[in-house]
Amino acid sequence: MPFWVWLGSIEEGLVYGLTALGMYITFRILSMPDLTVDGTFPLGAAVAATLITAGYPPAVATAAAWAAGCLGGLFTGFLHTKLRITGLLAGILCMSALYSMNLRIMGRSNVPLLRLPTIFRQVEAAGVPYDYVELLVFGAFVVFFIALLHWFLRTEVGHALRATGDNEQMIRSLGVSTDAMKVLGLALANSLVALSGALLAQSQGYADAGMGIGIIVSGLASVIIGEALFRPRGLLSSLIAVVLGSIVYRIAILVALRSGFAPTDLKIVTAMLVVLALSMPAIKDQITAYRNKRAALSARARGVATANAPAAARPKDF
Amino acid sequence: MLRLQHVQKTFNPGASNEKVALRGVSLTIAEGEFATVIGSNGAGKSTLLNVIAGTHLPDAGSIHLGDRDITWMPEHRRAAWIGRVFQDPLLGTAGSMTIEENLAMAAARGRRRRMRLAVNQAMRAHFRDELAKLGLGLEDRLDTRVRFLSGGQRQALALLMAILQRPLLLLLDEHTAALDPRTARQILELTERVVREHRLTTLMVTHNLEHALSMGDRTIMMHEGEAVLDVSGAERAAHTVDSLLQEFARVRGERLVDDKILTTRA
Ligand SMILES: Nc1ncnc2c1ncn2[C@@H]1O[C@H](COP(=O)(O)OP(=O)(O)OP(=O)(O)O)[C@@H](O)[C@H]1O
Ligand SMILES: [Mg+2]
Repeated sequence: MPFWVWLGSIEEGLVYGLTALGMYITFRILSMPDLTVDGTFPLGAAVAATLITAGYPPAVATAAAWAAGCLGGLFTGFLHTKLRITGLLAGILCMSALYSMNLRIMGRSNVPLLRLPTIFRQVEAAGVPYDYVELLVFGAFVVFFIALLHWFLRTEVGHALRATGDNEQMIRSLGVSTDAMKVLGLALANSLVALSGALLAQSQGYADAGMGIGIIVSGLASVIIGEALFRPRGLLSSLIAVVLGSIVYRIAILVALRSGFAPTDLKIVTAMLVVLALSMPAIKDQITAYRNKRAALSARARGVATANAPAAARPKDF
Repeated sequence: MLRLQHVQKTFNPGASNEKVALRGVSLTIAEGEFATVIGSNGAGKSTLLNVIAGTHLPDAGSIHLGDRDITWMPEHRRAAWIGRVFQDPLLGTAGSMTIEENLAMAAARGRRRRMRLAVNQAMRAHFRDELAKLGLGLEDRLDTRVRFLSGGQRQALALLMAILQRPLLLLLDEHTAALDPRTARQILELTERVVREHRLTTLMVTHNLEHALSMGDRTIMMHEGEAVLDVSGAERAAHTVDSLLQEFARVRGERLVDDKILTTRA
């Protein structure tokens, strides 16, 4: 495959990596799967595209998209903490409300950005070679947000957020409002997701109401693949693994397409990838257990008692 | 220091599984007093601690800590003055975070959390000193995630976290019940030492009647949501495990008689 094909997947992996980072916050740090993202991703795209069309500078439009994602997360957080709707349902409700909202914002289901200024055109105009503009912009955003999250998660507020996902009773008894932390986490996560949508819309040249479909699964797949493949130990390595997971996921999709799967098969390919990543520990354990058993049995056949023979294999009464 | 007046708490009121957990408990604990709380399962001991800490709000009555009325204050607000250790060692610490991160969260108890790095060199040195006093070697493992510690180590850390920011009130709910006897003894010795050292006002729930009499300076017995016995000083010194058991039997008997009267009347 020519290099530019790989490059395309890496770029996609980076821009969707922002979504994956957001989902890492809710899914892993808050231990609260948040489905709002299917709505906030196109929300970011819609806000950015609409503002750019209206003549606002791309930077302003992108920042507004980020803020809109914040609001989306705040709303889910409000439903969840103040109205006590379960997290899953609150996310679904917010996501489906956002679908209508996005159509309202755009006024139609698709907003093209042809011949309009975008962040990418501006960076290109600043002298970056055309082929590397997207890599550079996406890469810069990813690096910036990884650094920001790595700092934030070690601040006092960041600790409180992590502890909320780990042990609510404990952190409340240490004086933190866990409701506030959940709202904060949801807002932060969805702001990243919307930003990711806003950047994707600008790079592909349009925003579409259907852009968010499947974002939950691909984001989750990225988080899980990253963890399974890179086994991160610390905070920073976890964040990096999530983005690398996103890149691996996009490359896997590319390979699947190239090897003859139709685009309509992508969902099942994704599902298989996630199952594979999730089941890796279980499969490994079974292989180890099988090997141990075989070793023990053959040792017994040779009449040797081994230290790691399973207890059941030893004689019951001495 | 701590004053409860006619505190009542009923779970699931009106439902078939309605349960009166506290029926008008009034209790005053003086500053620096260390009281042990005993009572059979379901007597309302944990509920008592939970309404003081704000995990549950009472149905009626009032709770004052110092000169503040904390009856209706959210749990996370009153946490500024209350340190807690739970029965379950997993409950007192965040397993996915390191020892120093857990301690930093405890050091920030009752303060507004800020957007600045939670741990710095000075704090690290302070944590190391405090951990060294536990005598468990944890001072060299600041970067270890708490999930890798044993139950006893976690509970010792939880105790340190509860007192790190000198609380006005320390609440201990059977905090050694899940530990093996030797570790339990260590944690109890540690408890006595820190409570004495900082003259902490303390409520400690225990099922061990010996500890209930030997530790602290006052013993409260609960039964069916009421404080049925409250002894200190000479009166307490005269008590033995056997006399406490007799007391248990007596209140239980009285209750039975009461219930009989109620049922025959009804
Ligand atoms: N969250 C709750 N919901 C419903 N009922 C509860 C709840 N918490 C406690 N209870 C009930 O209130 C009563 C008092 O319970 P509590 O936990 O205070 O007892 P305890 O004295 O701590 O007992 P133990 O020695 O077993 O810990 C029990 O009958 C219990 O079933
Ligand atoms: Mg209890």
